[in-house]
Amino acid sequence: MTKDDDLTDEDLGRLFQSARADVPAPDEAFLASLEQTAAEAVAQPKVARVRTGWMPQIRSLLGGWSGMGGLVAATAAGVWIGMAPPSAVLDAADLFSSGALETEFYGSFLELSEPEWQGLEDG
Amino acid sequence: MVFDTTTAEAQNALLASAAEGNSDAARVLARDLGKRAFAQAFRMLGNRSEAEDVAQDALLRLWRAAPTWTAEGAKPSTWLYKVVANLCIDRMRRNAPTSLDAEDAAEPVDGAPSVDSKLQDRARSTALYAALATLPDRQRQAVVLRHIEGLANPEIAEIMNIGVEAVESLTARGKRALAKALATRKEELGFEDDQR
Repeated sequence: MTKDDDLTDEDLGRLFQSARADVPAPDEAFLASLEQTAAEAVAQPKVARVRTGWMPQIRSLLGGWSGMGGLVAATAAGVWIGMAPPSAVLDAADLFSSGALETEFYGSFLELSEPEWQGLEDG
Repeated sequence: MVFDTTTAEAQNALLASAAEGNSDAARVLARDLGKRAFAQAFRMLGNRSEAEDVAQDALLRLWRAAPTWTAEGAKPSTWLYKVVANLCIDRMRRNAPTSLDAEDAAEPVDGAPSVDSKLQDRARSTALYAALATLPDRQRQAVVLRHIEGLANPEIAEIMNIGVEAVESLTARGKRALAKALATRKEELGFEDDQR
């Protein structure tokens, strides 16, 4: 057998054309069973496995967008009050740094008389 | 209602609708894609019963994938070609090489072609499938998808997870092997009659 005996591209083209024309048609009963299976498969409600990232998961934990909004607003308000407190709000940091509380606390002991000290020590 | 199933958009819309529980959409897709899946499997396996099993299995996988299907992904029919091709290759590796059984030969679709023409198509396609069965799996798959299913090389590359150049190489080698395998049957295939 020589290479000249091989089919030409044109011959192969005719074979492919015949194969395309000779369409394998499935049985009607088989197609009907595919339809039935499809209808049954989609009729069962399925929960979509939605892939979520870490942001949506955190958002969900915090109660969705409304929960997140409330949290952000509260945080912003806290920062603002901390930076520029209104006059009616006691500045806790000032109280500790000025030592006013300490002075007042120890001062109350200094005012005790000797018998009162004694009484404290005896329990 | 008449559904369009030809374009990617139409197939995606039908699949989305089916995933939401629309059984009419599911039936339309099942019939259309089922025919294609069966034809592809039959051309690769040469056996009606096995082709039916493959088509059924492939469609079941489609329904399972439907709830998470994204329109940005592959066209459903391309996805199905890929699944069918893989299922066929699995079977081809398990089974001995198949040849088209005369009793399994495709039922031609009724239409214009004359009886003589149908018989010639049958004889030629039977010879072709027998020769295809002698090719290595990947060559057979590439030749069937390119020259019988009529897919473009980039689509075949996507289905086979290889580059376009590899597809070209596989189809070229496949065609050379077919030309050689069918050389002894040249006369009976009646190519000379075509030229008269």
